[in-house]
Amino acid sequence: MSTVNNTVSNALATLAPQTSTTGSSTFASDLQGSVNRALQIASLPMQALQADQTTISGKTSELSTLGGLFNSLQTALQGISGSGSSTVQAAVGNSSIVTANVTGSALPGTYSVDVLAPGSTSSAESSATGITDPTTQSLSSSSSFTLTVGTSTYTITPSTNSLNALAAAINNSGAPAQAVVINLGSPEAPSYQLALQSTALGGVALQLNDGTKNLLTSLTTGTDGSYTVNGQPPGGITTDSSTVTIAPGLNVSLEAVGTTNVTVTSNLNSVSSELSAFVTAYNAAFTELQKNVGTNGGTLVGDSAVFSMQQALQQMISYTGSGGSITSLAQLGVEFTQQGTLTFDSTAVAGLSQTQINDALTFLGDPNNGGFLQFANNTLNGITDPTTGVVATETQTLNNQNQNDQTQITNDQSQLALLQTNLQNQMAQANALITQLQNQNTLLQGLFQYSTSNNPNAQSAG
Amino acid sequence: MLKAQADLARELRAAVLGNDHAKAGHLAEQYTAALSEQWASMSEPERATSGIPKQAVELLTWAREMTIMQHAIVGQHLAAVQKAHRYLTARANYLRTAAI
Repeated sequence: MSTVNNTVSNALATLAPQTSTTGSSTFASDLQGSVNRALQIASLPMQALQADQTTISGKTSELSTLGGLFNSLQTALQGISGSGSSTVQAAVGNSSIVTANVTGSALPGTYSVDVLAPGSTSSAESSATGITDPTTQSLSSSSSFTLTVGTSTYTITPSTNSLNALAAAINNSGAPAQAVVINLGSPEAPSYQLALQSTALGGVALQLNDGTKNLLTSLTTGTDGSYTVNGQPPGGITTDSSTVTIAPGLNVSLEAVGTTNVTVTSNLNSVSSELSAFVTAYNAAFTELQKNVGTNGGTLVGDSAVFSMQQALQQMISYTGSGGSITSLAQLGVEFTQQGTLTFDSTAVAGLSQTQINDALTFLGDPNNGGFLQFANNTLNGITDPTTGVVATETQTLNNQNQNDQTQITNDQSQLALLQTNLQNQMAQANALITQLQNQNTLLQGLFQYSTSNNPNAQSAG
Repeated sequence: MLKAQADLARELRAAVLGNDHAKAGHLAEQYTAALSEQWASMSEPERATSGIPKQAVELLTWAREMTIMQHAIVGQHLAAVQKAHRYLTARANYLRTAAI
């Protein structure tokens, strides 16, 4: 028996490192294939597996970084459009005649404003006697008053029965009038009164009634304002407001009789600073992209997303306007360096004439309405759109890869579990057979030994 | 040895070589039974000169040794598969925790 054991041990010592089966049956071939596959998987170093995952994580992280930088670039781009409201300014020749306020929609130009009459407001006042403390005394003991301003009436309900509360209630009523409490007496003998002034210009009736009598006396009757713009209309425009709109986006306040010019001009001061911010954001995105290009590049080397982003940047900066004296960013001081980054020369913008400024604004346009800004915004949307953008789709692809890996591994696990079961069954059957053969061998040897003690063949079999 | 026993012996060897241990077990039983029956029918002089004992014991010993080797080989395979399974489990856990 020791001979048998040695034989088996030697055989195993030879076979163990090779893990190949003997025999030529189909079963043996299938088993060998399965085991080879299993060994192939098992031989994968964990470090390699982690490297795979690190690559996916690294790509995702870098995509996230690039996505953030492109979002910043888009925000900077939209900042240029946001500065539109401050690209025009108004200058007044004589600010004692009018003052001006301008918004982004005003068109550059010179407007001549002739104030024929600045207009005035109406006023009225109470004439009560004996009110020495406006915090405790009032014009009437009534708790409710009716205020008349022009042809409209308002119900006034003071919170307390005092002159101060009455004035506050009038001011909170929404009526186009302003109420104040004034002292018409001396410091030693005060006499507090309620004074009311209309908000609108012109003759506006003002009265306050406590249910039994009128409490106010008219002081002044206002007059309407009147003005012309560029001499039109010859008879003037009558207004009940001291602030009038003389052109879209251009309001002036009538201060005194006289004629003066209001000049609206464009300026690119804010555009200049926004372009500078845009160039900074562009360079940040470009520099990060460059990290993923070339043989020593980062995790996204060879990834189509990098190519798409590079293309987007190039297309954006290469935009050419269709008309006017300004048709490229270079004319606004935005130029390429040899490294592919951008520089911004603010003197280029500062040196533009008024016509060039207007053309520059046309060239820039609006993110939703033409020009460079719309083109650039649409181009960047192709990168940053949270659903269809390059960053989103590429990130989804990486997610899918990870999912596929997990699915594949789950399938492999199932197959290996089945293989394990089969091998364990095979070992159990082999075990049973070994025992059975041993028993049968013993049985036969006993049988043969019983009757062939002199048979040399039988003896050698033991 | 009769042809039937010889056929059984050949089939038993084939089954063992084919790793079909269940079939080998059945064939070994049939072989042993047939051999015992044949042995019982033989006279003493025939038994004294018969080569059956030697052939039978050699066959069963060969089958047992071969099965032991196969058992060891399958054990090696099983160990490899179990190792692979452990790697896969670790990988699955890693992927789950590193999920994006």
